[in-house]
Amino acid sequence: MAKINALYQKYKDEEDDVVGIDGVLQLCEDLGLDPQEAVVLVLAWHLGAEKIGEFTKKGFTEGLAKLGVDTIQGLKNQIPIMRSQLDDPSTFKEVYFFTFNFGRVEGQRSLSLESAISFWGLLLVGKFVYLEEWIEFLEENHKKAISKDTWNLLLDFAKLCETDPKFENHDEDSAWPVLIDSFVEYQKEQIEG
Amino acid sequence: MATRKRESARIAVPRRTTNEAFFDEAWERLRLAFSDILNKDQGSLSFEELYRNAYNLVVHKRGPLLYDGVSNVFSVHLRSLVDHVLVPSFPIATSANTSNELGQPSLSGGAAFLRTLRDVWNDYVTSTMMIRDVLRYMDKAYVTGNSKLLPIYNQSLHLFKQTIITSQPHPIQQHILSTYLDQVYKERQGDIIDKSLLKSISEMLLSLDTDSTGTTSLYHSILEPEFLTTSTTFYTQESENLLKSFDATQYLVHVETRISQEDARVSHYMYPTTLPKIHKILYDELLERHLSVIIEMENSGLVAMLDSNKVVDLARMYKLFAKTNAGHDEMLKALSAYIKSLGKTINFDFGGAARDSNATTSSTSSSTIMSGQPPNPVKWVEAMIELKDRFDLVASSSFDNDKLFTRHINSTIEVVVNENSRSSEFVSLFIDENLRKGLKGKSENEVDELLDKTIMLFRFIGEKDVFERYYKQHLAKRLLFNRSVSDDAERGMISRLKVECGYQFTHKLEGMFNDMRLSLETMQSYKSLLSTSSTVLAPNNLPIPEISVNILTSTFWPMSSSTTPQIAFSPELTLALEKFQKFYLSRHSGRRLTFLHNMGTTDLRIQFDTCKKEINVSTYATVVLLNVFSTTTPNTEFVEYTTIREKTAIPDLELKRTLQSLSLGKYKILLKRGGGKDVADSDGFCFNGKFTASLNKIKIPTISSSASSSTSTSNTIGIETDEDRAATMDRIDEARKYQVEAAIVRIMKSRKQLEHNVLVGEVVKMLSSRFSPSFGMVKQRIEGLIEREYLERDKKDRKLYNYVA
Repeated sequence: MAKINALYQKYKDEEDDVVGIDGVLQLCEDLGLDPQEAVVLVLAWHLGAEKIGEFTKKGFTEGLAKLGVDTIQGLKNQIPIMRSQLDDPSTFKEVYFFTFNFGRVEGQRSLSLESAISFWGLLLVGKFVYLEEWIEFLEENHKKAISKDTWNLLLDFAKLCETDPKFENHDEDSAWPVLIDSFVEYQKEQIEG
Repeated sequence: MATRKRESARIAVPRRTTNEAFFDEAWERLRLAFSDILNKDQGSLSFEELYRNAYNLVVHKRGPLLYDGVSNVFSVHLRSLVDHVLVPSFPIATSANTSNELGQPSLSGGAAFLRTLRDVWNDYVTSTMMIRDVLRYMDKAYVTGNSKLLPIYNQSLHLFKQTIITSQPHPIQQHILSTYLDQVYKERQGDIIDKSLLKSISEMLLSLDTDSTGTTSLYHSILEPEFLTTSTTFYTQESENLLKSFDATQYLVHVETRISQEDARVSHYMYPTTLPKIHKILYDELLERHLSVIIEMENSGLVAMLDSNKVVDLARMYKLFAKTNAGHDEMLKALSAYIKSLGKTINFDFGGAARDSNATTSSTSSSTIMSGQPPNPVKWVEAMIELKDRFDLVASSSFDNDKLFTRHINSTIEVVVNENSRSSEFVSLFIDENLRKGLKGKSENEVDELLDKTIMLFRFIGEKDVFERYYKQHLAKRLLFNRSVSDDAERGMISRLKVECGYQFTHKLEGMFNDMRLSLETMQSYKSLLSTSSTVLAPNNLPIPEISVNILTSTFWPMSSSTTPQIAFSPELTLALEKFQKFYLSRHSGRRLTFLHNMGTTDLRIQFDTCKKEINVSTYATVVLLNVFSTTTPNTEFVEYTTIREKTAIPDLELKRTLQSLSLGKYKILLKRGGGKDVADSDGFCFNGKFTASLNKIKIPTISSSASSSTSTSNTIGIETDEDRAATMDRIDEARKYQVEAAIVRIMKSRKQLEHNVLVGEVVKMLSSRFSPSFGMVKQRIEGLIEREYLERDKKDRKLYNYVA
C-alpha cells in the first residue's frame, strides 16, 4: 500500500488532493499511451474516475490495489490486458456505460453531443456498422445533448444492426428511444434513395 | 250319472297328400287371380278362398314357390306395362332444332306421359296392396324369418322401380326427369301447369327406394339433384339477363317474387328438404354473385335509394341481402362511402375545408384545388346533426335498427366530424350562438331537444379537451357580458356535459356560475354598506362613481391575471377601485384581487354641442376620454397619439384598438386625423362636438382584435383567427404533455412493471375520453420520465419498464 501511495504522491496535483489534468497527462506519457486512445477509458474505468482529467485519491489507490500493481511498470504490463478488455463483450459494456457518466459535465444530466460523438468514435469503431451515418444523422438533425437512455441503448442497437442491417424487423412501436427510431427512418430513406 | 265313453268328434281334416300337383293347382289359382287383380279384372274367387290357398301353400312349406311366383307375376305385368303403355306414351321432341333456354328439346306430350305414368302407378299400388292383404300369412310366417326377402309389398315396389323406372332398354327415367323439369320450367315462365300431377310423381318417387338399404328414396337420389342443377342454370342465366335491363328495385322485387314462387312450388308438389336447397340457389345465383352490381347500379342502386329516401326499397334490399354472406358487408361499404361524401360536402360548404379535385359531385373538369367557402360553425353543426338524424332514421325504418349498421353509421360520422380540425371549436360556437340568441322563444321541449342533439354530436368529437377550452372561453364571455338567453338552458347544457364527461370536466364551469352568483351577493352587501356611509368626494372634488364588480376565481376562468398594466386612472376612479378592494379584502383575508381593466365598461354622460348622451364605453376608452378630452373649455384641438398614450399609460395595442372603436365605428365620439383604419403614431384625435344620434343611450363596442387589422377578412361569428388558434393549440399541447405524463406515472405506480406496448395501450385508453395521443408522443413522454428517473428500463429486458418509487 505504501508504494501505491507513493505513486499517488508522484502524480497528484500540487494544490488539490487529486490527480489533476497534469498528473493524468504525465501518467499517460509514462505508460506510453496517447491520452486520446480508447484504452485510456478502460484505465479510467479501473481507477474509478468520475470526470475527465481527474483521478480521485480513493479511486486511484483502490483501483491500483484491485489491479494488483504498485509500480508504473506493473501498471504498464496491465495495458495489453486492458486493450483486450475492449473486445470482451461484458467488460466492454461496463466501460461503455461508464463512459457516459465520465464524459458528462458536472451537474448536467445529459452528455453533450460533441463529447458523445468523440467517445463513440473511440469506442464503437468496428462495433457499429452505421457509426458514421449515425454521427452524420445527429449532426444534421438532432443537435442536442444525448440522454443516458439513448446512450445505453445504442449498444444494443449496434448489435441489432449487425443482424438486421436493412431494419426489416425494426418495430416502431417497441421500446427503442425516439432518437433511434428516427435514425432508422433516416437510414431507411438513405438506403432506398 | 252314467259316464259315457267319450267319442272324440273328429273334424274332417282333408287328407294330407304329398301330391305336388295339388300345390301347383293352388298356385295356379292364385296366379290367375293375381293377374286379374293387376289388370283390374274382377276375379272369380273370393278373398277368403285366395287367402286360404296362400295359407296352405305356406303351411306346407311351399313359401318359395309362392313368393317367387308372385314376384314373377309382378315382373311380367310390369314388363307388359312398359311395352304396351309407357313407351307408346313417350313425349316427342317437336323438332331437333328447337330447344328451350336450358338447351332441352321442347317437348310436347310431356304432361300426358306423366299422367299415364301416374295412372299406372296408382293402379299398381292399389292392386299390390290387395295382393299383400291376401298374402299376409306369407309375410308373417315365411318372409319374416328370412332376411334375404322383402315383404311382398316392398318387393312389389322394388320390382316396379327395377322394371319401370330404371328399365334398361328404355329411357323411362330420363323421360320422367325431363318432362317433370320441363313442367317446372314452364311454370317458371308463367304457364299454368298440373300441380297435383307433379305432386303424385314426387310422391311416387318418394315411395321408391333407391337401393336395398332403404336409406334414400328415388326422389332424393335422382329427382332432387337434377332439379337443383337445372334450377341453378336457370337462375344463373335469368339473373344475367335481367340485370341488363332491370333497375335495382325491379330486380329485387323480382327476386322476392321468385323466392315466394319457389316456396309455393316446394309446398305444392315437392318435399320439404328441397326448400333450403333451392333457397340457397336463389340467394347464391340471384343475389350473392351480383351484390356489387346491384348496389352500385347507376340511378337505382343503394346510393340512389338513400338519395331519394326510398324506405321500402332499402328495407327490401336489407332483408334480401341478409340471406347472403357478403350482402350486408357490401351495403355497409357503400353506405360508409356515401356518408363520407356527404360529410365531405358539409365540411367544404360550412367547415372551411378545401375541395380536392376528386370530388364525387358533378363538378366541372377543373383540376385545381379550390379554396373552401368561409366557415360557418352554426350551419356546420346543424348540417352534421341533420346528417346523423337522417341516417338514424334510415337505420330504424329500413335496417331494423341492426346494430352492425348503426355502429358503422356512427363510426363513419365520427370520422367525418373529426375531419374538420376545428370541430371542437365549432360545436362550442354553436352552443354559444344558441345560448346567446338562438334559444330565445323556444319551448322547454324544444330547448331540451336541441341540447340533446348537440350532446349527440359532442360524443363524436375526438379532442374533447380542446372543446373544454373553447367552451370555457365562450361561457366566460356570455357570463361576463350577460349575454345568456336562458339560465336554465346554460345549466341544462352543463348537466348534460357532466353526464357525458364526468365531474372533472364541468367542475370549473360550475365554479364560474358560482362566482357570478357570489359577485351579485357581494355587490349587494357593498351597495348597502355604501348607502349607509357618508358620501366622500375624491381629491379633485368629483364624486366617486358607482362601481360594480364581478369577482372571478382565477383557477376557474380562462383569463390570465398576469399581464395587467398600470393604467393612469383619474383620482375619482382610483378611489372607487380602492374602496371596493378594501371592502372585499376585509371580508376575505388572504386573497389577492387583480383588476382586469381590459374587460370593464363604464357608463358616461357626455355633453356634446347640441345634445347630451349616455354612452357605454370600455374602461380604457373611459380613461382616454376623461384624461384627454374631458375639459371645461371647448374641446376642438387634435391631440397626438403619443400624447394620449402618455396621459393614459395604456399599452399600444390596446390603445390603438380603443381609439379605433371611438373614431371609426358607427358612432364617432372622436374624429381621427390621418387616413386609413390603422392608427399611426403621428395620427391625431379630437372630440367630436357635433356628434348626434337618434337614441339617447348608446353602446360603443370595442372592435375585436381580428377586425382591427385592415388585412383581416370578415368574421361575424367570432371564430378564432389562425394566430389565436395556433396559440390555443400550443397551450393545449402543453397541457396534454402533462396529462400523458400523469397517466404514465399513475399506471406505472399501480402496476409496478409493464411492457412497452402494454403501457402505451393503457395510457391511450386512460386518456381516450379527452383526446387521442399518438404512440410517438407517449413514447417521448416515457423517455422524458426515464430521464427524470420516474421510470427505468429493466436491466434484462429492454422492453420492460419498472416504476421507480
